[in-house]
Amino acid sequence: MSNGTQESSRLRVSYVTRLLIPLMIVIILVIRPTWLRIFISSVSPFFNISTAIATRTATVPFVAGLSILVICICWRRWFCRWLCPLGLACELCGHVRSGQTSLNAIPRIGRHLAAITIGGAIASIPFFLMIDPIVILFGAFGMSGTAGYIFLGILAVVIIASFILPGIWCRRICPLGGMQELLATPAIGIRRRTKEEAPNKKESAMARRSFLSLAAGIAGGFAIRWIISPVRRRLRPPGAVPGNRFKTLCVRCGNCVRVCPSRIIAQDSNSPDTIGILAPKVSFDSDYCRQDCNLCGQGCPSGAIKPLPLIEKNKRKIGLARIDEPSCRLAWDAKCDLCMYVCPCEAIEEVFNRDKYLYTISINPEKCNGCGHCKIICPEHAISMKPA
Amino acid sequence: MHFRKEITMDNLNRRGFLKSLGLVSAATIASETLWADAIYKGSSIVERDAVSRGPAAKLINGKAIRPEHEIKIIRDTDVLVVGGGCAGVVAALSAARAGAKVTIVERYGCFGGLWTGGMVLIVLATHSNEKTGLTKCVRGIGDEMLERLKKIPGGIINQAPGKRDPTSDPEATKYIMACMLREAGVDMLLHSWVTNSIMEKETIRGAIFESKSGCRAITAKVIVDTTGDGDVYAAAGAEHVRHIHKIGLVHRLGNTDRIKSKKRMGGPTPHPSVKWVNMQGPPGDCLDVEALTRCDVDGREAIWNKLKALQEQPGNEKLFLLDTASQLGVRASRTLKGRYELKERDFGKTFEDTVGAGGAYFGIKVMCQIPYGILVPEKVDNILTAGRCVAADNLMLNFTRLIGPCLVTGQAAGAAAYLAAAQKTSPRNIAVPKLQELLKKQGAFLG
Ligand SMILES: Cc1cc2nc3c(=O)[nH]c(=O)nc-3n(C[C@H](O)[C@H](O)[C@H](O)COP(=O)(O)OP(=O)(O)OC[C@H]3O[C@@H](n4cnc5c(N)ncnc54)[C@H](O)[C@@H]3O)c2cc1C
Repeated sequence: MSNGTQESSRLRVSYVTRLLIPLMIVIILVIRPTWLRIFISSVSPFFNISTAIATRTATVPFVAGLSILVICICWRRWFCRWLCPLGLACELCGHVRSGQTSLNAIPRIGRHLAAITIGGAIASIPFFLMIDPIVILFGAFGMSGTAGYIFLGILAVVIIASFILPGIWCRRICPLGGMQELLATPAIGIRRRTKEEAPNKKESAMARRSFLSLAAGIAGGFAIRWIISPVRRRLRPPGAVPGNRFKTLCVRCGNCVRVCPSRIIAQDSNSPDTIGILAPKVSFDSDYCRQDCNLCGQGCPSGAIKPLPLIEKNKRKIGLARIDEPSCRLAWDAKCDLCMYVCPCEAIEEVFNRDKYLYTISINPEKCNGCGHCKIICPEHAISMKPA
Repeated sequence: MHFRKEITMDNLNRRGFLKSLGLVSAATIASETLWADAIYKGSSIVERDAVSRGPAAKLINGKAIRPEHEIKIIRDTDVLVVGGGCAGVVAALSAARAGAKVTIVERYGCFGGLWTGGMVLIVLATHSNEKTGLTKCVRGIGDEMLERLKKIPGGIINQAPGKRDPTSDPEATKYIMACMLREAGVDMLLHSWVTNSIMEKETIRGAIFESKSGCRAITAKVIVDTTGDGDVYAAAGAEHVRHIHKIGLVHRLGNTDRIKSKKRMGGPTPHPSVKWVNMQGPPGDCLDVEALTRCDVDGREAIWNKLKALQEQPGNEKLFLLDTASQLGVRASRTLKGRYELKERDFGKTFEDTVGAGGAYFGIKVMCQIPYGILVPEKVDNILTAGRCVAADNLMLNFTRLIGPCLVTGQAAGAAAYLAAAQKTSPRNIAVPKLQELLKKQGAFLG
C-alpha cells in the first residue's frame, strides 16, 4: 500500500517534537491530578464526541477538546501523528522489525467500531469507548488492581500485535483512528472535487458501510437499554447515570475510586453481567458517603457520574437503607438511637408499635439518600443498603 | 375447729392456753402453737388517734370543695429534701455531713427512686472515656455509695479501676442508702407524698405532704427538690418546661443462664441468672395519672406476652419473670428554667461555676461540666433542684437524667443547701467558690 509507506516516511520527520507531547500525556496520566486527566481524555475526539453525545452535556473539557476535533477534520489522522502516545509506541515497535508486512488482507474495522460507538452513544450506550487509546493508557498507568491489570493486558496485546503486524492497531483497529478517518471523509471529498478527480468507488462504499455501522450502533444501543434489563443492580456513586448506560459510559478510568475520601468506591470485579465489569460500585463496608464531598462526580471524565454541586449530589440516591427488624436493638427493648442520630437526611424515625409494645425503626424512602452512615454505625449490623 | 373457736372466745392468756394444750401430744403442740400465737396476740387498740386529715371535702353545687384548715407542722429544719431518689439521698447526705439539720421525705417505702424501685440498674456516665483513658467523674458521696455496694456480695458489678458504668443490685442499693442516711443523722420520712409548697410571697418556706397520718407540713430554711418531676419547684411557681418522654416498665428475668435462646434479652446484673430489661415503652406524659395507669397495665401485659413467646422457644422453658419495677420508668416530665440551661454543645466546655462533671454518654466521650446555674431557678428563692429535673434542653436532659450525673447534681445541691441555710441566704445568692471549696472537701470532682 503506497499510502502507508508515504505516511511512515512522513511520520519519521521529527521524532523529537513527536516524542514530547505524548510523553507529557503519559506523565500526566501517571501523576494523576484529576482535573488534568479530565482534560487529557477530552483530547481524544473519539472520547469527546461519544461521551458528549451519550451524556448530552457539553462540559468545559468538551469545548476545549473541540479544537482538536476541528484540526482532525482538516488534517487526516492529525491526532495519530502528533498526539497519540499509544500510536507512537506502536510505531516504534513496528520499526524494530525490519521488512514490510502487508495489511491489505485485513479490513479497516476501526471506522466501524467508531461508527457503532457513536451510534450507540445516541442511545447513551457508547460501545467501544473503552478501547480509545487514551482510555487504555488511563487504565494501564493510572489504575491499580484488577482494572489496571486488564488495561495493561489490552496494552500488551496492542503492542505485541504491532510487533507482529506493524500498523495493525493504528490503521485497522483503533476506533480513534477510524473516527478520524470518518471525520476527514468530507474534507477529502471536497479536496477531490476541487481537483476534479473522479470519486473513488471504494471510498463511497466505505462511507456507506460506515453509515450502516452507525445505524447498527443506534439500534444496538437502544436494544441494550430496553431489551436487556440490568441483571442484579449495584450501588453506584451518587449522580451516576442509571442502569446499563452507566456500565458503558464509564471508561473505568478509576478517578472516582481514587478521589473518594471514604474509599467506598471500588471496581466491580465480579459483576453479574459482562458490560458491567469493573464499573465502579459503592460498598459500605468500612465507611459511608460524606455529605461534604462530591469529588467522584467532579473527577469523572465521561459524565457517567454527573458533576453535581454538593446540594444536588446529596439529593441523589446511592441506594436505600433497609432494616432487619429482628436484629435491631430495639427489638429486645434495648435503647439505641445511633442511626437516627447520624442520618443527615432525617429519614430515620422510631415508631412505637402498640402490638409488639416495642419501637421499630422506620426509614423514609423519599428522604433517604443512601449515604450508608446508618449502616456503618449500627452496632448490630441490622441495616443494609439496597439499590433504590 | 370447734375447739379453736372456743379458746379464742374464752380469751385465755398465753400461759393458760399452753397449759390447756398440755393434754395433746408434743408434735401437735408445736404446730398448734404457731397458729395459736398469731391469733392470740391480736392487735392493740389505739386510744388516741394521731391521724388528722382535716375536715372532709364538701360537695357544693356539684363541685368538690376542700375547706381551708390549718396543717400541723411536724418539723422545722435547715434543709428539706423532697424525693428520696439517687439525687435526693446524696443531697441529704451532703448537707447533713456539712452540718445541716436535714429531713428527707419520700413517697414510697424505700430510697433510690428509679435506680432501685424503678429497677434501672446500670449507672451510666460515671467516667469520661477520652484517648488518655478513663477519668472518674462521679466521685465524692456517689462513689462512696458505689464502693460500699462493692462490699456486699452480689451488690454491684463493674465497679473497679479500669471499668465504668457499674450495675448494682436494687435491694443492696436500697439498704446501703438507708444505712448511709442513718449514719449521717438524716431525719427520714418514708411513705410521705409531698403535694404542695408552703409559700411566703415569692419565697418557699416548706412543703406539705399527704400520708397515712393525714396531711402534714414541714418548714425549712432551704428546700431541695429531688422529686425527679420538679413537683415542689412547680408548686412554688418556678418556671419550667414540660416534656413528653418514653414511659417503660422495667423488669427482671430469671434463669437467663439456664436457657438456650441466643436472642439477647436485657442487660447483666450482679446475679448471673438474672437480666434486667430496660423497656422503652410508649411516649407519654408522666404527670398524667391516666397515662401512668395505662403504661403500667399495658406494659405488664406486654411483658407477659413477650415472656410467653420466649418461653415457647425450645430450651427456654425455665425462663421466668422475676419481678417488674414497683416504680414506673418515667424519664422526663419537667425541667427547670434555671439560671443556665445545659445544652449538648456544653460537652467539653469549662464553666466558672462548675459544681461537678458527668462522664461519657453514648457517642460522646468527653466529660460535661455541670454549672451551678442549672440547679437554681431564675426567680423563686430558697429552693434548688437536682437529679433528672434540672435545667437542660430536651436533648441534654437525656444526659442530666442519667444516674451518674444525678449523683453529682445531688451532692452539689446538698452542699449548696447547707451553705445557704448556714449563711441565712437563698441558694441563688451563695458564693460559688465557697461551694466549690466545700464540694472538694467532700471529695467531689468538679471537672
Ligand atoms: C426506663 C428507664 C431507663 C433508664 N436507663 C438508665 C440507664 O440505663 N442508666 C442511667 O444511668 N440512667 C437511666 N435512666 C435514668 C435514671 O434512672 C433516672 O433519671 C435517675 O435515677 C433519676 O434519679 P432522680 O433521683 O433524679 O429521680 P428519681 O429516681 O425519679 O427519684 C425521685 C424520687 O422522688 C420521689 N418523689 C417523687 N415525687 C414525690 C413527691 N411528690 N413527694 C415525695 N417523693 C416524691 C420518688 O418516689 C423517687 O423516689 C433511666 C430511666 C428510666 C425511666
